[in-house]
Formats: sequence, C-alpha cells, structure tokens
Amino acid sequence: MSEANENKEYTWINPLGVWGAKGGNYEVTSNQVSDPSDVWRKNTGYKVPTSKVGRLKHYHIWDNHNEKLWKRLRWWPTRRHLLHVKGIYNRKTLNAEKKILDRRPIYWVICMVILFIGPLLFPSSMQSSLLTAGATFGIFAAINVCWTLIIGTASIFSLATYAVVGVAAFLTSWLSINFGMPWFSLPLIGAAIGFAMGGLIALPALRLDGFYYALLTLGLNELCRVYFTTSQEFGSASGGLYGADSYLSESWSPAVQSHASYYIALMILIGALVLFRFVNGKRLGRILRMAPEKREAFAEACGVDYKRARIQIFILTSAALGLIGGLYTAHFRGVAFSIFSFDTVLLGLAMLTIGGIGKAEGAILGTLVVVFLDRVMIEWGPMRHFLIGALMLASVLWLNNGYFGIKQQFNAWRDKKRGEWRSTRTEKGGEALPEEATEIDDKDDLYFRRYDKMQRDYLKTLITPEIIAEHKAKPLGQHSEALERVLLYFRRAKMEDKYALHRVGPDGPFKIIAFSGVRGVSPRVVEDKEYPTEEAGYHGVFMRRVHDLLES
Amino acid sequence: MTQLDEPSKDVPLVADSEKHFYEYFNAKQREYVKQVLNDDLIEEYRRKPLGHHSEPLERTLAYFRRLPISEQYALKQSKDGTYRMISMSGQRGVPPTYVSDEVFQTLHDGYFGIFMRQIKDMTEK
Amino acid sequence: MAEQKIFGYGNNISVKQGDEITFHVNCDGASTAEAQLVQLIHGDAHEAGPGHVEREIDNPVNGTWEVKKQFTQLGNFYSVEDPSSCLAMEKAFSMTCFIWPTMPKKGTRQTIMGRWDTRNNTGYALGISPQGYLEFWVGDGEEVDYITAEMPLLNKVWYAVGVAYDPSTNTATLHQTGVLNRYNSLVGPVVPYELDSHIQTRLRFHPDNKPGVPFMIGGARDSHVLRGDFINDLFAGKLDRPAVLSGAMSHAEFTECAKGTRPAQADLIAYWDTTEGLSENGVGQTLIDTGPNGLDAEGHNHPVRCMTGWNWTGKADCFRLAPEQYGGIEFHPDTVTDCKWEVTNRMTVPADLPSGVYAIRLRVGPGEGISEEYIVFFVRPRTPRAKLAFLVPTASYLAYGNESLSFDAHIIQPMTGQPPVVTDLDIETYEHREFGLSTYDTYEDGAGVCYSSYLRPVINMRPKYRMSSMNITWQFPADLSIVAWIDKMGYDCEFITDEDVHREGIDCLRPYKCVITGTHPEYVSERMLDAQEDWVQEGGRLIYMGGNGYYWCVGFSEDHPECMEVRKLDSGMRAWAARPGEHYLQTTGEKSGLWKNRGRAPQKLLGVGFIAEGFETAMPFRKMPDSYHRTVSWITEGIEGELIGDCGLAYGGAAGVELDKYDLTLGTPPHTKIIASSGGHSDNYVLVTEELLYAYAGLVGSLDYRIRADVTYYTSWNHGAVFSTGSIGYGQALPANDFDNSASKMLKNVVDAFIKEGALPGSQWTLEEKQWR
Repeated sequence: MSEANENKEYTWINPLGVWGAKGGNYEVTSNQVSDPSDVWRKNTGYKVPTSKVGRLKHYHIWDNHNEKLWKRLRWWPTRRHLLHVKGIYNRKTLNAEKKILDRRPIYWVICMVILFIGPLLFPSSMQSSLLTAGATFGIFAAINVCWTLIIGTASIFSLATYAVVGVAAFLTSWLSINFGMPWFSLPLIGAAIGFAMGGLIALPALRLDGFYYALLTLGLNELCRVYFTTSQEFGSASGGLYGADSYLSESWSPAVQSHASYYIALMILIGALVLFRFVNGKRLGRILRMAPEKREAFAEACGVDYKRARIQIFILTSAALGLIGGLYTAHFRGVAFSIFSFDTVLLGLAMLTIGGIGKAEGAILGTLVVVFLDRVMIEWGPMRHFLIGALMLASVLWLNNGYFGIKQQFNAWRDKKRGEWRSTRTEKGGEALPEEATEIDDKDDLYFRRYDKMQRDYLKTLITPEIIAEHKAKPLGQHSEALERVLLYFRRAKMEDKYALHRVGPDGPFKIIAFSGVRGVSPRVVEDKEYPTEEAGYHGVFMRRVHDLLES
Repeated sequence: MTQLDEPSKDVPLVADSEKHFYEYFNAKQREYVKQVLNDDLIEEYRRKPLGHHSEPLERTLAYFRRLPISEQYALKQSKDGTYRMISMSGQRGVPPTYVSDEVFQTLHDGYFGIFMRQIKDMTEK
Repeated sequence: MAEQKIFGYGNNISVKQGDEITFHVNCDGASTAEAQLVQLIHGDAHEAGPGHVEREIDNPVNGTWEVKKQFTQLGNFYSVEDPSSCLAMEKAFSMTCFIWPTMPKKGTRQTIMGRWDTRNNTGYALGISPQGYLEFWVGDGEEVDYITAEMPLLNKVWYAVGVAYDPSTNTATLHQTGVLNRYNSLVGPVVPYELDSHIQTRLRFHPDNKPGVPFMIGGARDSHVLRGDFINDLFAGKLDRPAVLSGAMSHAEFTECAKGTRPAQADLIAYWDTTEGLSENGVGQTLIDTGPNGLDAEGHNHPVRCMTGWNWTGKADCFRLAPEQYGGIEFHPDTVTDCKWEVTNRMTVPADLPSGVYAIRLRVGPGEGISEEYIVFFVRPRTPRAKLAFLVPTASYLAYGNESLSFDAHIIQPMTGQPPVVTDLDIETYEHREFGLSTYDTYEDGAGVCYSSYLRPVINMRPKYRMSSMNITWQFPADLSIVAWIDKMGYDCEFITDEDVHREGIDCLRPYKCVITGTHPEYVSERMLDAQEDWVQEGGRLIYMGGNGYYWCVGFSEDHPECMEVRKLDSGMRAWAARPGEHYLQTTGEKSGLWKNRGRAPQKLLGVGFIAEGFETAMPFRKMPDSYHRTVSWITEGIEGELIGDCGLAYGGAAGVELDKYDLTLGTPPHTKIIASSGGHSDNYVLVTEELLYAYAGLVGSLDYRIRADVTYYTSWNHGAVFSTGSIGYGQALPANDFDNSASKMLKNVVDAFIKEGALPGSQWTLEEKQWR
C-alpha cells in the first residue's frame, strides 16, 4: 500500500472464519499496516554528532607473573600483603594486567625517601635554615597527625592540642631545669602529664556539642597561656623556659646538631604516623568514625560504645601529645610562650585545613606548606601569612576535603558533567552512543537497543482505537495483523517488569503483577485494581503495555 | 459465517491418507482468498510484487506459493531480455512447458502475469 | 502470626494394597495438620466441567498429624567416609584438581575440595573466593588465613589447580594453569588469555584438623542453630580427577599433573578417578578412589557424570567411546533430588482399597492455597482383575515437576500468546526454591536440569493446580479429567504407572485388554516402549489420549528408581540443549534426546507424532473420508454431524495445545486410517522444530496444512490395535457438558470395543472395493 494509505481503516476478514472458528471476530475493523522496514530506511544515522572514544595508554601497566612463581610477602605478622594488587584481564585486549588498587604505600615510601635524603638536596646556602625548618616541620607535623586523630577520626572539634603540648613542655622543662631530670625521662613524664590532661578534657567532650567544645578548649588554651605567661616560675620574664636537658649534645658541631635534630624530628613524625595508623585503621578508629558528632544516637542504637571510645582516644592522643611535648623540650632545650598563642593554634588549624581534615597525609602536607611559608620564605614578610590565609580560604571554599580530596572531588565533578552531557545527547530509550558502548560488555545488547527503538517507533504508529477495541472484544485468538504485530512485540519483551496476572482466589479476581527479571526474586503487585475475569485481566495488561509503549 | 464444506465421501483410495487433508485444507484456503480478493488487492500487487504486503495480500500469496509444484509457474527469460510464463511439471525429470505466447517486457510485468494466471486457476477450481 | 504453609511428599508413587507408604511433611506456622485420605476424581476448576471432585476415605491415618519445619539440602556434592582420618593430614600435603567453573563471579565462596568446618573455622580447603579467584585457606578455630591467586578464574574454561602446603615452613604454594584446548572450553585458543598464576606465601598458623569434620568435594560443612549441620559454599561447574597427595609438590610436579600424568601411587593419599566405572550402561553415584586407601566418595543429589573432561579432544562424542576423556562431573548448587525429610507418618494401603488415584490431603490454618497440600500416590491392584487400565505417566509428571517457566523463561509469553496467571503457591515456591526445578528449567549457572525425582514436593502434581503460563490444567490435574470420565462411564478400571511398566515390562500390561494413556505421556524409557510394543503385538489395545507423546528418551537407574534422567539435545521443542559430547545418559549409557532421532519415532507405535504446538484457542475435529469406511465407521457411531469435540476445558475444543499427526515418512503403519482431523488453528500454533529442515515465512496454523491433530486407528497382530486422539486437549474435552459430548461418545465407542475379547468390530470389511459410486 502506498504511503497515502498508511494505517487506513479497513475490514479485516479472519482467515479462520472459513473453518468455523468459535467465538466471533470473523470481521473486525482494523488498520492497514505500513512497511516495518520504513523506520529502518528513515533512520540511517545518529541524531547527534559522534566522535571517537578511547584513552591512550600513557603509563606503564605491570604484567602478571604468568608461569613464574610469585613469592608474595606480607607485613608479617599480619595477613596484609605489601601492596593491594589485583590481577585482571583488560576489557579491550584481554591482556593479563596487574592493577594496583591502592598506590598510597608507594607514594608514602617515595615521600619518606625524599624527606630522608632531603638534606643532601638542600642548596648549601640555605642548609641550616632548611634543616631547622625541617626539624620544626617534623615536630609540628607529628603534633598535627595526633590532632587529626581527634578532629578527623573522632571528629571532635578540640583546639586544646597545643595546650597539652605546651603544658607538658613547660612542666618537663621546669622539672629538667629545677630537678635536673635527664632528657630520656622527659618524654615519659610528658606522656603522664598528657594522660592526666587528656582525662580532664575528655569528659566535657561527651557532653558538649562541637562549637561549644571548641570554645571550651580555646578557653583552656587561653587559661594555660595566661597562667604560664604570668607565672614567674615558668619564666614570665624571659618569655619561656630554657636550659632543659637535650639529647642534642652541646659538644657536637652545629652542623651535626642540626642534622641530628632534623632526623630525630623525622623519627618523631614517623612515630606519630605509626600511632595514627594503629588507631585509625584498627577497631578504635572504626568505632569513632562510626559515631561522629550529631550521629551518636545511631551508633548507640547499633550497640557501639562511643563514649568509651572517645575517652580512649582523648587519653591516648593526649598522652602522645604529652610525649611529644617532652620531646619538644628535649629537642629545643626549653619552650617559649608562643606555643600557647592563638596564632599557633590558628597556624595549626591552617595546617590541617589545607591538607584535608581526617587524613594523616593531609596533616603532613599542610604542615609542610605552612612551615615552608612561615619559616623558610621569611623574606616575603607579612605577605606570607596572608598567603597562608588565602590558601586556607581557597581550600575551604573550593575543595571538599582538602588537597588530598581533590581526586575524588574531580571524579565526582566529571561524573556530574558526564551525566549532563549524556542527557543532552541521548534520546530516552534510544540507541547507545559510542561512549556508552564502552560500558557495555555484551555487544549484542547494543544491537538490541537499536532494534528495540526502531520497533517502538514503528509500533507507536499502529496503536489506534480500532485495535484496542479488537483486543477488548477478543484478547486471545487470531487477530488482525496490526494488533498481532503489537502483541508479538509485547510478548517478546524482556522479563524485567513484564506483566502477568495474579489469581487471588480459586475463581478470581485477578490483579496485574510484574516480574522482577531476577532469578529467585518474586514479582511485585503493580496496582490494586481487581479484574473480575481473565479476559478483563488480559485487556488490562494490554492497556498497560500500550501505555508503557506510548510513553517510552 | 460461511457454510461449511463437507469433506467429500467420493474420494479415491490413496496410499497416503494425508492427501485427503491436504486437498480439504486448500479448499478452505481458497474460500478465504475469494473473500478478500478484490481490485484493490490486485492493484496493490501490481504496484509492488516484492516486499511488504498487506495481510490479505500476503495470505493470498502464501496460498499460491504452497500449491503443489505441478500447479506452479515460473518465468523464462528469452534471449532478447523479455520473459514468457512457463508451467512446472511437478514430475522428476520432466521439463516445464510454455503456458502461452504472451511476452512480458519486464520482470515486474512477468510477476504480475503469473499472479493473474494463478487467480484465474483458482477461480476455475 | 507467621504465614502458614504446608508441603509434603511420599516415598513411593505407586503402591499395591498391603504395601506401606511413608509421608514426609514440612510445615511453617503450625505444629499440627489435619489429614484425610481422599480418592481424586477430577481436578480442574474450569466452569465447563464438574470442578474439583474428591471422595473422602476412612482410614486410621486420618486425623491430626504432628508436623514441623524441615529443611532441605540443596546442591550436589560428594562426601568421603574417612574412618582412619587419612585426610586429616598433619604433615606436608598437596591437592590437585581440574576445574571448569561456571559461576566464578557468583559472589559467594565455593569449595572445590577440603576438610573445612565453616561454623568453627577449622581445617583446610581449596576453592574459589567470593571475588572469583582461586584460593586455599586454613583455619585454627580463631582466624582464617588465605592465599589467593593472581588472575581471576574465567567462566567455562578448564584449569588445572593445585596447592602444596608444608607445615614445617608454613609455606603454601598455590598453582593455577589453563588447560584450554580447541574443544573443551567456552572460548578457543585464539583468545589471548594468560591463565597462569603461581603464588607462594607464608601462612600465619597451621590448620586445626578437628575430628568429625567430613572431607567433601564440592562443598563444606556448615551449621545453623535451627537447622543443624548442612553443606554450604557449594561449587558450580565441572571437576575432574581431584586428588590428595602426601608431601609438598614442586612446581615441576604440578606441571606434570596438569599434563594429565597420574601421580605415583606411593605419593597418593587419595585419587578420585572420575573416569573409573564408566561403562556401556552408564555409571553410578559412587566416586571411586583408586589410591591406596580406598576412600570412595558418595554423591548427594546426583552430581551429573559422563560429562566431557579436561582432556576432551572433540572426536569421541560419547563417553562410551573414550571414557578417559569423560572425567567431568558437573555440580549445581541449586539442585535437589531427595529432600531427605524425616517421616511424619506412615500408612499401610488397605487390602480393600480399590485401585485408583489417591492422596493424603493436609490442611493447616485457612486450608487453601499454600496452606493445603495433597500428597498424591497411585494404588495398583495386588491381583489384576479388570480389563481396562489407565497408565499414569509418572515420568512425564517428574519432567514438569515444579516448573517455573512463567517467571524465568523469556520465551514463554511469545509462545503461549498470553500473560501468565500466577497464584500465591507459584510465588511461594519460586521465592523459596527448596523443592528443586523441572527439566524445563535451567540451573542458576545456565545448564539444563537433567534429573527430576519425586522425593520432594511436586506442586504441579496436585489436583486443582493450573499451569500458570498457559492457564489450563496440565499433566496430572489434566489427566484427572480422563479419570473422571472413566469413573462417570462406570468402567472397571485399574491404575498402573510408568514406573511399574519400566520395572516389570510386559508383565505389568498383560492382564489388561485395553490400556489408556494420559493426556501428555511425553517421557518414556526404552523398557516402557518395548513393553507396550510387545503387548500390542500380543493382542493388547492401546488408546493414546495425548499429544506430543513418546517423545523423549529417559533413563532410570536401578539404585534410584525415583529419579528420572533426560538430556535434551540438538533437536525438538526443548527448553535447553546439552553441550556437545554430553548427550548420553549416566543412568543407562544410551543417547537421550528425541525417540525420533533414535530411529523410533512415535508414529511407529502410535500412528501419530508431534507436529505443532499452540495456545489461546483450540479447535474441534472434523470427520475425514476414511471415517466412513466400515472397518472404522463404528468408531464415530452415534455422533451427529461432522464435528467431534467442539467444547472442552482446555481452550474450548478437543484439538488443542499440542497436536500429533499421521506421517508415513516417519513410520505410521501403512494401513492406518485417519478418522478425523482438526483444522483452522490460529497463528499461535507453530510447526515443531524437528520437522523443519529450513525455516520459512508462515509456518503457522492459518497457513500450514500440517498443523493439525489426527485421530488415527490401526490393527496389529492377535486382534491388537492402537487408537490415537493426537491431541492434549482431547482428555480435557471429555468432562464438558457433564460428559455428554461428541468427544466422549467417540472414546466410549472405542473403549467398549477394546475391552471385549476377540476380533474387533469392522474386521470383516477387508475386501478390495468395487465401487458403484
């Protein structure tokens, strides 16, 4: 039939009429059916511009071991392997590749190696200032790593860190100066002091909310500052205490001393990292991360004793901070009031924010940046503090989780952009675009999408009131071509969300259900409407399918 | 509803009883085709012998194509590119014979010629 | 209140008076159930028929039964009896096996072999990790330590795997190498897969081999507070030649094993030779240990044997030709052939209970839907007396047992031309798939189901059940329409089953003059066919009441007569297709598939064979010219007009659903007459695939003359005869209009003639015709 006669009404004569088929529908008003190939002839290309896809291999991918024996080492006595590596088959070439799931251990090792051979790379003119800055960096990074345990892991907003360090430092200095305590006892005494202080500030943490707790700790910091600065015992006149015993012997040459102080500070940092690793990665850390502020009730409902965990972390961290305080004294032979000053706290906060709260590497990076600007780039003058502030502001404004959260943030942003792009380019229920095809492994599905779209576009033109009436009059049996083509399509649909009837009682009524398409998962009820007979039910299913088709 | 044919009682004995049913089946198909055959259908075929057809036309063609070979036709191409209709013998080893002198200028005309011939055969049954 | 459900089965499907039958019941939400012995007469609720008809019978077993929840062990595996704990090795040991995993990325742990206790985390095992990597693990009761391979296992590829463990250095070495060849795996050698992985690592502690933990192949023992011990972490795929060796084998030794070299006997602790025992007649359920300790393993839930092994080279396509290439055994975690429930009650069949179809009806709570159960069984006569027998097609019931086509088979709606109508019972058993699958389903890993047994609740072998995809009764409840007809006509009829004919052969049939089959006796064994062929020759009269009958070749083993095996091959209307080389039955050694493709088309015995299948509507038969011949005119005596069977419970006609026709080219006896044929089937009726050499447009009811049912009749030796209706719908047409219809009349004419001794009516009119007209 020509295009002009497309879907023209005509009287369909049932070919089974001559056989005397029961049940009527010998002559039914139906529609002519256009050539199904037309829709294929009309659609010969994508409706949107397409471009090539693919990502060039720009870094080395390690092969698998194949027939060679791979002796795999572990972090003895744990069961963790050195690197979290998985063997996979490349989706495009089926090459066996090693995928390193977590590259961070490699980066840590590289950074540590750089730090350790650092002094060899320092320009000789800046040698001593860089070494001193490096030592400061090491100690402050250690303090910040411990601080990250509180602010990051336990997410308790405590500003009392430097207070603890300061108190421990002052008390151990005082003890060393007045009672001649040797340097190796200072860290231990400091740890005990820290322990006591930790107990003190832990208790309010259970009752007070974030902001108020920050104020409290700030107040504590101020208290300590005022006390120590105005106390004669603690060197109010000289701005601090000096003269404590140190492990850096005076008899060593300055170069050796500064080198030694640099490396010892690095050891302290590594100690702090080890503490961080064993708290954050183990049970205590997991409990704390499960019960951050404002979600304590949920954690308690799960049976987690977060109160105890919080007290534990405070005591542990404060003891560590106290120990560092003692080491501070032993390192610098004393301590100045500036440790209690508000700008120390703020600088500390800047260190945490720039790197990203919650990660040890964030604390270290932040410390590195701030110490570098503060202690090394002195010739920049007050500008450098402005820069620190600007960096902190930028980090807070634009980065969700500090510098180390950049990758995650970028990926999320890319996904969002991709979603937006795709939605402008893809047609609802249409063919797969080249970029979508990379995500589908069974290429047969790609063809099916194209075919199904063509079918639907074609069948939509066949849906007319006549064939709906024909179905209603006789749902089962021989049908006109227009109706039969539509029915054949419906029956061939995939199982997911395919309709069927549910017989509620032995004689009915019937309800429409939809299959899940997943093996073992039972169907769902689609609507509450009840149909009195099967015929009514079949027609109800048909109308739903017609509706779904027209909507797609 | 059409009057039902009674299967004939005067049937010769055949070795394969299926033949009874086959003839009866074809009789029923002819009844249907006679109901739907009209000028529009013929015109539809004339315009487009090959490809997608409407349901009544497709069923008509299906009936013609399923007839025994001895009742089927084909086209023989002559040296000058024209066609003549031939009728198949249906017997192994026996060649087809010309049906008439009519010459078809194109393949299209040839198909249509066969179609009209088969209609004529059917209406005479 | 918990939902109340009740399910059960009997240990025997066919019993004689005086035999004992035990009942096994599982109940949720109640501790007692009301039980009643009933005789089943009709089981189709369609309004055109008499509805559900049963008769209560007095019996001491009636009353209140104590019932409880019972659990089912799903999945097949082998367990090893190890009385001297040879497999609880304290010294260095190694394990090797060939594996062909079908679901490595299933997401749960799979055990290949080991002596592992999941509940207490003790022992050792070799298996697949939830991420799909080969893994060996040990447990000391507190913790579990693993060694994992580097490359993931691929689907349907043969690997040789092994582990060498040395407790003195606590080193474990895990080996994995591909043994893929041109034939034996899903992909060929052109695919650039590197399959090897060899890893060595130091484990942190020794395995604790507690006593009482079984060594299993294909699973590991677990325990649950309510359920007790059960087997979990089941393997999906094929295994071949698992072995346990003493000493930690070297890389070179593993490579030798992977080539197929059998390790020296002195090095073995156990070597389960999966090819041992393969014979002309198949193989059984025992996996033989050809090592020094004789630790044979017993199979549970029928692991599938006679499957191609790691070294299959493609030329020998039957295990009988090259048994050494057929060491594969296939495991499926979701199979069950014996629920092994405890006995809930037992009954001795009373001596005066007439032969018939019976059931124990159990009810809890509301007593309908899933709260009602019928445990069906058939009573045979101890001493046969009647002339008429109904042959219950129990093999075909098993084939369809618990099918779930509506839910899982994508093709079912296009086939039936209608959306399915499901009930709560269908949804319940689909969700909680504890009762196994039918031979129309596939296992979770995609392989076809080849075993089905009745030692499990079979929900569609119950009265009132309707097959959801077609919305008609099917098999057993449909056959009850014939039973009701026999009852209504008042015939003295006895009941025998496929199982009896298979076991006893012609002896079972001899007492009877006439035997009626069910509506769909699709699955038959060689012995069943032989018995019927011989009996017809001796003068027996067979009435074939079905369509698509005598189609599939099945096997039963002597040890497990309750379990039927069938393999669906390259041809036929089939729900799955066996892989190449795996076409032969484990139970009998013969090729399975269609009888037509074994040289025994159903036309040879029945006169008709499967030609078309369709749904939605059915048609009546119309007399054919031969029906007027005096040799057969008695068959249609008393029927007014030409139509036969113009009403019925299956789509309103006697010729419907599955149709058989006469075909001289397939072996229909040359003197067979076609009494009546149907016609005018809708386009939903399609030609069966085995009759297609080439497909072409229009192989449908309105365009192809072959799509019809033929009623045929022929005579044999000694006044034997076979009458066939060629349609499934015929049996369900009998009860229409209170059994007063033309289909019923025709059948009555035939049965009345068939149960009489001596010459059949019309046997005199055989001279050559000299016609006047």
